[in-house]
Amino acid sequence: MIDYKSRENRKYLLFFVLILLFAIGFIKIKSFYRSRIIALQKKVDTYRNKLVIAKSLMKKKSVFLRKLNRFPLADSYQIIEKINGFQNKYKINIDSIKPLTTNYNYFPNINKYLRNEIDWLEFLIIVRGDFYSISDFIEAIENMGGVIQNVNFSLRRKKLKVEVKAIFVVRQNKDSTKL
Amino acid sequence: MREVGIYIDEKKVSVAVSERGKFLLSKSIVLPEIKEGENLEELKAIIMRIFEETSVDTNKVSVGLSGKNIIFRLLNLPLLNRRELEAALPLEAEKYVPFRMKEIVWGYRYKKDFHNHQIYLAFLAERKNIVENYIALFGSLGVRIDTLESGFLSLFSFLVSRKYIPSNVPAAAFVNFSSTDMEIAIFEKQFPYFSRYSKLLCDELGNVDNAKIMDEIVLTFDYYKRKFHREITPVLFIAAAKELVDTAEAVKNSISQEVKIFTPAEIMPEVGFEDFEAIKAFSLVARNIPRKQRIFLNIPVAQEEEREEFALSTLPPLNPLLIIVEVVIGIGLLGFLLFRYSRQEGKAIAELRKVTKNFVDNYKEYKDIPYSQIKKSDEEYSEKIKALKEADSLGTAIHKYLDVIASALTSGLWLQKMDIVNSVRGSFIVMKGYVFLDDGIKERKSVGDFLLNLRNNGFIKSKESYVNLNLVARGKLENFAVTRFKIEIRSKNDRL
Repeated sequence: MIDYKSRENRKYLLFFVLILLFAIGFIKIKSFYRSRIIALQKKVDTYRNKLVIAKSLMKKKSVFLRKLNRFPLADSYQIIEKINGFQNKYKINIDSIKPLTTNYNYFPNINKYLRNEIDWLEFLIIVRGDFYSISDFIEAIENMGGVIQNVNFSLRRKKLKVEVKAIFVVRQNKDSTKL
Repeated sequence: MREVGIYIDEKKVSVAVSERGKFLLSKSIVLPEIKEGENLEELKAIIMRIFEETSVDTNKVSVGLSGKNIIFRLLNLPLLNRRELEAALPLEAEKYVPFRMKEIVWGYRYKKDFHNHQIYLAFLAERKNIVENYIALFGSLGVRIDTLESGFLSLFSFLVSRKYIPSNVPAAAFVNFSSTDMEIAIFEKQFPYFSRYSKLLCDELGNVDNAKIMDEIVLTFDYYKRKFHREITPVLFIAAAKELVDTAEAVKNSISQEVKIFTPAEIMPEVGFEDFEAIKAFSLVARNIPRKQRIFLNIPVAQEEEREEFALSTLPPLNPLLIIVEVVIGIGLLGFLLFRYSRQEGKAIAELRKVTKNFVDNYKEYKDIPYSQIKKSDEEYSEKIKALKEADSLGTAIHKYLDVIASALTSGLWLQKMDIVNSVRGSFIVMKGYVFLDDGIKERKSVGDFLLNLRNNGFIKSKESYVNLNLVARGKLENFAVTRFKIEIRSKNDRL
């Protein structure tokens, strides 16, 4: 056992205790501030990353809205009216325009991501007329944004009867300026 | 923690017990006629009795000795540092002491006089054999001597620390009358310049001779003034035993200077001390006396053997300056560290504020949404944009194929049926028709021309579509021999 009664030894003890206390003080201050600074920097980094990703998200949202608004609003009546209007223009007889139940499996990728924004309207149009008029009629439908799925030309009693199955990609009937 | 102080003189043994520096109890027992350092069995029995009566249970005591055998010398040395002083002192002291240094135990206190470039050193010594006897005595009781000092000097320090004697007196003479002896000392600011023990002088009838005591005091004053070239007369403080108060009064009356007399009852009246011996015993363990005002005698090695084994106990003296330097450096470094880190922290906080403000200003709606969720949403929008592009590129160009087919028709050839299919299974145009030219070879040639016309068409080439002839055969239509054919245009891409 060391004798701490002696004055000299007490001085040494004081000396070493002070060194120890300062060392502990150093370590404590260092660890306290280090953990605080690291936590703060982590927070800064998180906000920075968040800032970058939020910026990108905002941009993408606006691009998406712009692209989405290019599609017409879902309105079957208007489409049918428009197709009817072609009857006189191209000198054809439109026998019937029949809306069909849309098969969503046509385009799986689009359906997966745009289920809430995009709809399909499918029609079966039966027309009679000459080949060139019907060709013009199909061109007009394609220009309207129609996607031709099926065309059947058949010649019956020297008359050309054509069945056209067309899909129109439309924007769902809701306020799509805000998402 | 209990501490025990024992004061031993020729006539009495006094024990005082303190707890954390506060007085607890005291006890004095008058000794039978024995000589100090002898007849130790008797002394041992008395100390044991006191220990039992006061139920003291300790393994160390502070011992105070009477001035009878104590030698006090004031040494005058040139200015030395402490280490040099410790080396020079034994050689120097031997000149002043009537014993060899081996034969005494000693202690000292010094005061540096920078003006005259010298050191005053109060040197205190006691015969070693007496001390060793006490060590043996206490050792046999299972008690170790912790400190050893003069009871008289300890009493003075005690009275100063308790403010019975003002500490600012330039020079104080302190006299203690006990029943048979007197001790006198002169202090300048608690540093002893002179100390002397003498028997109380009595006349033939056994009464105390006041005149001789007066002479002794006056002589002491003269000696002090002459020796140290002092002009002021010290203020006289007398600690007188109860039975000698009259003597003290007589001294007071016959001396033409300021005198203050203490009786034991006046010192700590709440305790009710009966004699100064008990106060001396208590002064050995009273806490608030500065250590540097005391002179402790070295305790002989016999008791200290055990300590010597440890290297630390023989460490060289440590300069107190080193501790101060250490503290200053330590505090400086700590301060620097604090300053540095607090600056770093401040910077980090400012940066965080800046980033947060920027975020809140521009993207408030995302403030409380976690990063992972925003990222997920961002990825989802990438996919949505991709899907929108796909939806946008669904458009078909069927009318162009129709134009191509119409322009490629050859003579005598007509189409009876045409199917155009765009589906996930594939995109193709199947044409069925007839040729009638009344000549089988010409009819087949016409079909071949139609096929070539289709294949060589720029539009079909640009679309990289395949044109295949599936069937050419002779057939009948309304009793005419005709050629039947089936041609297929298959798109290389997904859609026509």
